[in-house]
Amino acid sequence: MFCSVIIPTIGRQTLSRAVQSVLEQEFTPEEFEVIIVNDSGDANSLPAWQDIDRVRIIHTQRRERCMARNAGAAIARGSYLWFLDDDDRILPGAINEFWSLAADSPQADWLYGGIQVVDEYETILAERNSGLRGKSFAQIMGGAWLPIQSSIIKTTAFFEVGGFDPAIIGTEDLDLCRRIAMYGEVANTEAAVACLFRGDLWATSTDYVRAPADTRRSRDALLDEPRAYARLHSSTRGDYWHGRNVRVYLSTINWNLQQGKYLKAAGRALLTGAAAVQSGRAIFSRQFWAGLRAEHVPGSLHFIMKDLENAGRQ
Amino acid sequence: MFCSTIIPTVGRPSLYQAVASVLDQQSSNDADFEVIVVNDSGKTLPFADWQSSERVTLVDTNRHERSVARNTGASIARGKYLHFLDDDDWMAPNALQSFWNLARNNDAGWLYGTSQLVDRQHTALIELHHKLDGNVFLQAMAGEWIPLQASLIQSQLFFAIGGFNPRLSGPEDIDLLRRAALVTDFAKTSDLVAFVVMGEVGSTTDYDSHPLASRWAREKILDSPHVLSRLRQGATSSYWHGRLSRIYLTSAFWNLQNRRPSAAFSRAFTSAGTLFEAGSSLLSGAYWSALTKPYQSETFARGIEAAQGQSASSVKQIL
Repeated sequence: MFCSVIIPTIGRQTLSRAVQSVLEQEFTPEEFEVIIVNDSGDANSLPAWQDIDRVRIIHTQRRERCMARNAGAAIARGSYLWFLDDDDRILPGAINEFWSLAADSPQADWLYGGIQVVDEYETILAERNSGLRGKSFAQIMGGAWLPIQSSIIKTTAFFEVGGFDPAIIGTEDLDLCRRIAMYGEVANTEAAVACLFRGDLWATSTDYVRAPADTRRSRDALLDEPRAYARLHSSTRGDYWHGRNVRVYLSTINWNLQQGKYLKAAGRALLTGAAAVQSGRAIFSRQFWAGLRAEHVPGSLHFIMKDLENAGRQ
Repeated sequence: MFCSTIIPTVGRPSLYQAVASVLDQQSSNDADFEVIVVNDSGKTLPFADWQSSERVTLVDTNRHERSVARNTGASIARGKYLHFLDDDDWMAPNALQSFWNLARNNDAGWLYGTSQLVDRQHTALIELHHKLDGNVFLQAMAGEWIPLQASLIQSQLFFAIGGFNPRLSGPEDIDLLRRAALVTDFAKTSDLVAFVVMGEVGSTTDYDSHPLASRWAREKILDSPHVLSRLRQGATSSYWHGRLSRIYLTSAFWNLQNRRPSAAFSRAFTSAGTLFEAGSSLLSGAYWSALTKPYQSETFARGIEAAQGQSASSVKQIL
């Protein structure tokens, strides 16, 4: 089977829209399935699904998104996993698009396309596609964003890195992306494949209070992994990302100081220096300093939020 | 619900006995329980009468090894406590009652009882009577092992520490034990609660699959907050002072070999600190033998001694 779409839910009404968007895909029916992880703790809260063969339901007991998604992934039969939220939707033709992309890039572990944000009248408020391809660890550690809702992940790679980390609550999708990018490659299609609805219910299950801290903790843990520095360096392309690497290490010095880990902070300071030295001539370029200074890299979630603000003002 | 027993299986015939040993539990009070069989064989299990029991939930995962299968089982479990059994092991007849009695006046996150190790032919080898109680973190980090089959883990605790590490296959139980011991106390009952089959034949454990991941898991634990203070509480004798120094010393070497100089330095520094703190223990032979020799479980040694003769020699062979 090509692809399993995993939708964790706590029983919100938008779920049927998400499920329908998958079932309506024009693609060989035996090659994809939907797995609904009902994490509401109430086995009776979901309507029985019509197309029961291709929709499987597993009932977890309020374990939060990470564990719910991991459980869904464990029962999945597809070679690729697509993690959708119950208030999102995939676009017509999306699975087909990924099928060709997977055929073109069989080595890639993370495949993604464009993402749209629409309002309740289906007006497109924002659309993003960061366009990254190949080894992208440096770019993703530097802040590039490959939205999980518009990505499929190779099942073997997902389990090799251990799936979603339940200790990271706010930004577990970014954490997963970083861990997969550390060892694997990414592939991109220009087509938009998924859309998020911006409404009153949008992303209510994300803990935005914890998100910034979790993001830093996840980044710090990855930099601890053996050979992280070498991986970061080998995926650096262009002066901008050299500057970005230096920033990544710089910011972890600060983080470790705040955590009272002075020795580790000193270690990171050494690596900051090393990253700067290894950038070579790049440090004389404008791009390097732009990368070092930028709060957010192009294509990241931050700019989607900006677009939305602008759309709201109009 | 009191307890969920989670049994991952690759479809071995011994599964029947494992499930039956749980369903046959006699419980005089309302110690409600369920069995979750996680079929990780990738194929449909042949029908057996236990599948129609109301207490049983069957979930099919798709060949993902034990950690993932167990985490999946835990996610759907409803019990306050989780019990992880393997498909070739089985529970002692009154185990649930023993645990219920233990849990009634104890809020420790990890409960355990006596286990009997048996060989493939189900001949008794040795019994493990652990003496671990309360804060067992130092012992766990040194290398002590309590079989999961003989343990009940609070579900809340299990999820708070993130469940089994799916990157480990083989030492994932020791890793869980350590992460649990860091944050919770242990409590024991001396009743026999589980029979555990030893021996490699047909075992799904792959001890060599991820040596790096396994050592790395240990390093991650040492990086967690409050580790040192919890370890120090366990250093109550010269011997355990020596063990504590050894934990940091071996970690320093590992980090040096794996080119993590700042971590290596930090561990060596801590190791020196523990040496300093050991004080007069430094004069005892126990300290130095603990510092220089790999860990040998006293529980196993006692078990072997008690068994003697035939079974003792066969257990030595297996271990």
